[in-house]
Amino acid sequence: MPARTIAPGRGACLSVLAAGLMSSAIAQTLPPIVALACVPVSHMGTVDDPEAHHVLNRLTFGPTSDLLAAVKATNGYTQFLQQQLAPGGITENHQLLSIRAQINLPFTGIPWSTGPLVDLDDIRLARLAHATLSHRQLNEVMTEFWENHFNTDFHQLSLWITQKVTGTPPQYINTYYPGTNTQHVQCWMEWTQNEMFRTHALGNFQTLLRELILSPAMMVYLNTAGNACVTGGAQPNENFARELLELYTMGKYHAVTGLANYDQNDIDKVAEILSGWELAKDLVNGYPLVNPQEIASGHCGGAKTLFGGTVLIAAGTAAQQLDELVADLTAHEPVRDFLCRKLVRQFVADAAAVRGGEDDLVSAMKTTWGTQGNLAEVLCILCSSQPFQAATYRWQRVRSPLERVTWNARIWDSKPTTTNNVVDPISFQQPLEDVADMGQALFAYMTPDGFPLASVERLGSSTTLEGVIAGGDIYRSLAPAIRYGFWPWPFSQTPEFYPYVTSVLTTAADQANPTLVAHTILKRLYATDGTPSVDSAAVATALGNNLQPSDLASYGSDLARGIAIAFSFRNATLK
Amino acid sequence: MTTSRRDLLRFAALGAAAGGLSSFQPLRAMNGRSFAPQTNDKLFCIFLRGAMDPLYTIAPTAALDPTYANVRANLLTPVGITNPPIALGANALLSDHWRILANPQGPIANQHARFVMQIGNPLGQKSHFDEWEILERALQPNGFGLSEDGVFARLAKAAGFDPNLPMSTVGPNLQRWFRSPDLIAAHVKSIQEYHLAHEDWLGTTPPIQLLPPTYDAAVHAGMQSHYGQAGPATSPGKEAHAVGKFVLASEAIVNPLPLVPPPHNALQFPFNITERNNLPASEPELPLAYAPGFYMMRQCEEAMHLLETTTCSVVGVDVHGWDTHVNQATQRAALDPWVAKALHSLYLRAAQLSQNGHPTTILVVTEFGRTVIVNGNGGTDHGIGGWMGIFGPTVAGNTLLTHMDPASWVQLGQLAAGPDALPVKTDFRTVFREYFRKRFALNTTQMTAVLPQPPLAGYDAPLGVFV
Repeated sequence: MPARTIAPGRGACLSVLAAGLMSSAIAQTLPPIVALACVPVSHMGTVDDPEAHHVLNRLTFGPTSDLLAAVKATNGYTQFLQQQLAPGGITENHQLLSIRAQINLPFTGIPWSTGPLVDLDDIRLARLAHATLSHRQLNEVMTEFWENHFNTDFHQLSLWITQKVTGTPPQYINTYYPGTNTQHVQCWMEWTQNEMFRTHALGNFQTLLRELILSPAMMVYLNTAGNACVTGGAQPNENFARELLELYTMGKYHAVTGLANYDQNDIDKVAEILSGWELAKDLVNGYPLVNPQEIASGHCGGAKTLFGGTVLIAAGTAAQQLDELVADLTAHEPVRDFLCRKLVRQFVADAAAVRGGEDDLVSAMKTTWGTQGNLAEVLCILCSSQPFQAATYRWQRVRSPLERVTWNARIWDSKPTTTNNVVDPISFQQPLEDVADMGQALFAYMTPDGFPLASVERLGSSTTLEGVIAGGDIYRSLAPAIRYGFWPWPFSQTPEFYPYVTSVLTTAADQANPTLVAHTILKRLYATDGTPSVDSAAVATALGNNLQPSDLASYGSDLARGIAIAFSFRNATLK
Repeated sequence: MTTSRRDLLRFAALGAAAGGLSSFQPLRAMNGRSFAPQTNDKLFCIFLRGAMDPLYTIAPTAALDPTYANVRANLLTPVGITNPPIALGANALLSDHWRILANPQGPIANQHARFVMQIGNPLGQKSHFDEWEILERALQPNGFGLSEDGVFARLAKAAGFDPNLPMSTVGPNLQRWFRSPDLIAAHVKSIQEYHLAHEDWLGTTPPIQLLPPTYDAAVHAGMQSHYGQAGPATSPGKEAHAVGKFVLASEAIVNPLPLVPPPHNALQFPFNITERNNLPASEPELPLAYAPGFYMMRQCEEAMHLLETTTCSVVGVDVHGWDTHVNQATQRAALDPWVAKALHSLYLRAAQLSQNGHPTTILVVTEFGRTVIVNGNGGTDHGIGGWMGIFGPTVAGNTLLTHMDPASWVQLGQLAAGPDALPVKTDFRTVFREYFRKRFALNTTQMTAVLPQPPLAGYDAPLGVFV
């Protein structure tokens, strides 16, 4: 087998990309403009439609016509990757900024006690809107990756907040902040953590991990808040320590050696290192926040030995030992291996991430990872590698429900409803419900392992059924994209989802041609209509012979049947 | 014209039939095998993610183990009860929740319940993955998987289930048990067709008209209040219908249900089914525990309906909320009533399904036990020895405390100062192998395909759970 080039050239620095105009509303949350040591390999040859779909399926939440054209241009793939790896230089979508402003994110400027309340649906809508609309698509893909990797559950935050109550009614934490709504605090915890992921998504892992450990949502969710080392009594809660090792950094077994990466003693010691923290009531600039605070009396401050003596943590305060632990974990070989393989699973394929898959690529990523976890550099290596580009790995990953919905919106160049140039959040209501029905409750997935990343674990009976139903919702709303003039709702009703799309069939003759309609749908979705699993003939049959422009009712039924069939293909769930 | 979601599904099915989609070909056509199942048995599996703490499920009394009562007194004291001896006797799943314990038509009264204590992976390290990856992927001792098929997918292939509807699962974790790249196509097709044929059951016009309007409205209002959403077409709306139908339809089987009042009613949970005409109007005090219970009931209804109305042989639901590190007492106080209701209803329907020629087993599994003593912020950590509940006419008699004689209970108090975890006495694979062999008639070769790794020697004593 001929040797393959895995890693692109390294050592040169890209010039800093020109920074575009940035809204002050989100400037403070933007990732820094980084100078990459990794230079993506120039793509050789022409990028055809299937390859462009593949690149955008993986680096974004779905191709759009503009991005497909850009990636197919000469050197377009390389330029796109370079730009996306430096998101601070990309001007953000003004529609997204509009939605953030309407929801009052990121909770700035208005104290909780008097400001407009934010509820769970608001931050879910914001998360969907970022995925769908952001121009910093790769940063959003990685934000979603970390959000799911470090999953917390909105609902499980409420009890901790409610416990602060001594007065009535119980749903308010009157003791600390009169009038503050519990759900609003839960939203603040979840959304500030999500913004943290957005800030560090392409930064370095060491910083991200430290911020994560002390994020209020995680401190409450896995019990770091209030966790104490009681001399001569109870041991610290092991909940976060166990998941830190098992789910967040290294996994129970090493993917190559099969050896256990840690044992119960390591969990005990890490729990001691992470003891002595509380979320304390505080007023910062007039805002009633809950900030992490050291409780010296609750910290087990002695020296510790971890992982069979390979890591030594010196005696110190809770903050000192935390910093040391985070630094040591970031550089630890099993951690680099575990996280690089998870990134390969996310961006290439499940089979590429296992031992014997694309081990050379993983090795190159681990080297680039360094001691701090240089995420942009690692992704540069990954996303310009030959395995990433390989045709054999296309259409091999199962989309999450969020990815399915956003892909459908973006593939048809959908635009949200606007009124006087202001985005109407109603555009996102149906998609949000579709995501939930398919089993991905944003910010409310209960267990810390997050929504399954492995493809085969994303396909279950209930998810499958709801996926087809959601496809019906999406394509009913997207019917205007197929046929100019088709309008499935009475004009008096509010459109449910993205009604303003560009029609792709503009003549009556084309619209009445089932084969052409089928071909158009499938070509748009999958860049092909001739693979064994994407059979335009089946869709054409479903469309039937009633595609008469004058018969909207009949046309609607046939079109609905045809597009539901198109969406039922297995590739509709894949990317 | 407005095309509804259900219309689209119907059209899709018609189109699929007309189009002959290659991706939906059943396995029968793919490999030519005969798929006559080896038995008519059916299995309903409930996976409680985390640990249904055995030391909280069947709690020793203070008289039997005063040391243990002192160690865990704060966990075992539920809302409104401050006397530890009473709490120890009252706040366990079996002692408090009368539907299981006292109902004359329930599983215990019919000698159809078995509880296996101190069950787990003898080599486990208190991890979520200790037991279940062995089942799911036939994990080797070095951590590498032997199979891409989950354990129930392997069972389906070995036992010759109908590939048109071999199995079903509700919830993301248990999907791993059913996963199989080979079966996905048939699975997708079968589940679509099933729902097309039974589309009303989860719709807004339930075929079983058992819901008093006031009850339905109150449940629905509670769901809307909790989720902050409204409208009958929303997911909470669907859940409200399913919850009410699941509980009430089951109770209707034994109409009139003997409404034995519980010994006391100290526990707080959202809707007391026994007081259906006097429902609380306010949101429950514990929203944390509110959603999992409802979610569980909806899942149970969906899965049991599949089992009753199709050729489906194995269904499973997974329910989160059992990794109760902190506030175990309050969390269990809210969750246990839902489990009791679910088990009660499932047992009644399993019994009827068995009378109709399909011996049905309900298997309740959790991941591990919990530590004996309370940790630094008031909860318990992962333990080793867990709990498994098995119900149904296929179960041989009642055994409440396998391996849990009085001597074992006395040792619990000593554990507080020692290893801190209830030890494993039975390898969890022992029960699965007994079930597969006894009820699905797997031979040695088939068993090796389904569970390549046998129970650890010394932890494999036959339990005789199944008739």
